[in-house]
Amino acid sequence: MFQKYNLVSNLTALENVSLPLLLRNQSSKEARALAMESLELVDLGDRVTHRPSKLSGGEQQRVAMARALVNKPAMILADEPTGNLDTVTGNRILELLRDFKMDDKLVLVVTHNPEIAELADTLVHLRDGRIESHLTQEVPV
Amino acid sequence: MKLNLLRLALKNIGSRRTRSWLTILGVLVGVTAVVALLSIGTGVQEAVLQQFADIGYDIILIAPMGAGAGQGRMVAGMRPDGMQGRFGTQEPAESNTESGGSFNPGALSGSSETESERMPSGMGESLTRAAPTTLDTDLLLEQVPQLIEAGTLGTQIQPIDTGTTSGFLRVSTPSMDFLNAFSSVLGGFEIADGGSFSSRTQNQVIAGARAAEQLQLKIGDIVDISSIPFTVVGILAPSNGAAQASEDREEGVLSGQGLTQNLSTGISTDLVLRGLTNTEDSLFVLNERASEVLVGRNMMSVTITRVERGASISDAKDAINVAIGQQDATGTPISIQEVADEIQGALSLIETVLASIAAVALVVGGVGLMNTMYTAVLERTREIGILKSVGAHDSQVMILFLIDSGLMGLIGGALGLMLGSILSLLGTQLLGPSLGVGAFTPIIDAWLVGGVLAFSFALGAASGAWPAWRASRLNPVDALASE
Repeated sequence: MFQKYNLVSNLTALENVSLPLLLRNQSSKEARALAMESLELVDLGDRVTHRPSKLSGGEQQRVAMARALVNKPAMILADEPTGNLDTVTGNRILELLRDFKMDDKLVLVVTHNPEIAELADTLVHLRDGRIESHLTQEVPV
Repeated sequence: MKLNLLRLALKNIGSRRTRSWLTILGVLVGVTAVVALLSIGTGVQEAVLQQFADIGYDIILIAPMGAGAGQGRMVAGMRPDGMQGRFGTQEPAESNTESGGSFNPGALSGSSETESERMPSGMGESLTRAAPTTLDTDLLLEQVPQLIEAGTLGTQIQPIDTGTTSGFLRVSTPSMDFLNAFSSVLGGFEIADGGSFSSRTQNQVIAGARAAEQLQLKIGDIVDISSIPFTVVGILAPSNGAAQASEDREEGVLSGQGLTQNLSTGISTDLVLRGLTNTEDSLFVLNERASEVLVGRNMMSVTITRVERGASISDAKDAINVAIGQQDATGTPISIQEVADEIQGALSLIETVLASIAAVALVVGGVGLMNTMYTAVLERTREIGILKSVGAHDSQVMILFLIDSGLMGLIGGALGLMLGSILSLLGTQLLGPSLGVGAFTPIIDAWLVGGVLAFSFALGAASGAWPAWRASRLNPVDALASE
């Protein structure tokens, strides 16, 4: 997941989400079904035919989240996923990431935001490309 | 997977609608030009071949001179402008000498070299002096057993005077045998009024439809040909080569005289085609009669023979060559097949040259497509990065772009094919008559359709190959970072 969402602008939300599946040679029917499922997971079941330009920033990032989830990955890499979003919509994204983590999966987030850092089990502090500290913390559920 | 990529490619084309259409237009123009030229070219070839088939491939013409006869250089493009369309002005003979001054009657009449050297080259005088060594067709039939029919057709330019109108006109002199056996070769030798020649000893003339109209001739009228009175006994129906003839008339070129130089065989293929098949502007006098009263005025005469069914054409040609030698005449036998081959060769060459020029337009279209695709790669760098970051392989990105450009080529090709076909059909229908090419239809066959579609897709893909390769090689991290 990217700070700037990186959705393909001339594809609808559904097409954007099914893209990884299509590139893996899945039939378009299957891909649609799985993408639909994934979009519903991020509460965008009613926005499937919208193009990115017709979606808000938070919605776009949720489409990106759905795209990241559609492959059923073991790990999500997220680069400032809430950097361009207001607090409310940003929190919604964080919730989704936390749900993913709860499934015993790994989420690796890069952030400047200490509030987000508080949510991590493991915190690696980087300064100018060097590791400054590495600590494990207890996260309240 | 290919289907998925195809769908994506279609989406790409659709999302850049204006530019895609402009690119397609570039291909379309080139394809249109090529299709129109090729279909018209094939149509003309077919029509010409049909014309020869109508004459018959069992026919051997004997041209009035030997190939390589030394002086046998037939002069091209003789334009006796003053000979027609200027009735009433009484052209003096000198003007003919000017317009047809390069005409060498020695070569045409097949006379020996020394004879032609003695002759002045001015036509006005030489017309009265050239003594053709005409083949005796009856003797020829005896000499060459393969031949079943033989006839002679001569052509002269003669001063004509009807009392009210005067000028110069072509006089064709078919022999009786020719009319009996080969009148179909003339194309449209159909008597509309009066009858055919009834006597070999009377001065009778049959007028072509337009000649009769221009000279206002009726049956029974007297026409002076070279100051000798002839009676009009028949008037021909207009032939279907009328469009061609009208074109000639507008340009002031006398039909059948637009001789094309042909050094290889020494026979004018143009003459064979036009002179033998256009009867509109001619007067006809029986050869037997003409040779008596219009002595020595044959500018050229062609002997036509028909080979027996099943006999070898080339054997017959050899035998004719021997017979010509025995008769102490000169002439070169040439089969209709050879004439057809030669004309078809020339037409193919013209068609190839024209199509090559049209192909330049195609190349321009291809370059336009390459430009569009290259711009698209630059423009869509980030999108390529996204595709790669969600799992697209290099090859998939490449194929996506190739399909994209190939599709644009294909669409351009398909539309160009339609437009080109419509243009060539409309063109021949609307412009054909005024250009004198009414008698053919352009040919659009499966080969042309399939070839054009395959080629335009290949052109598109080839033009897109380099941009596609560039796209596929993009580093996804850099591509995503670009804005």
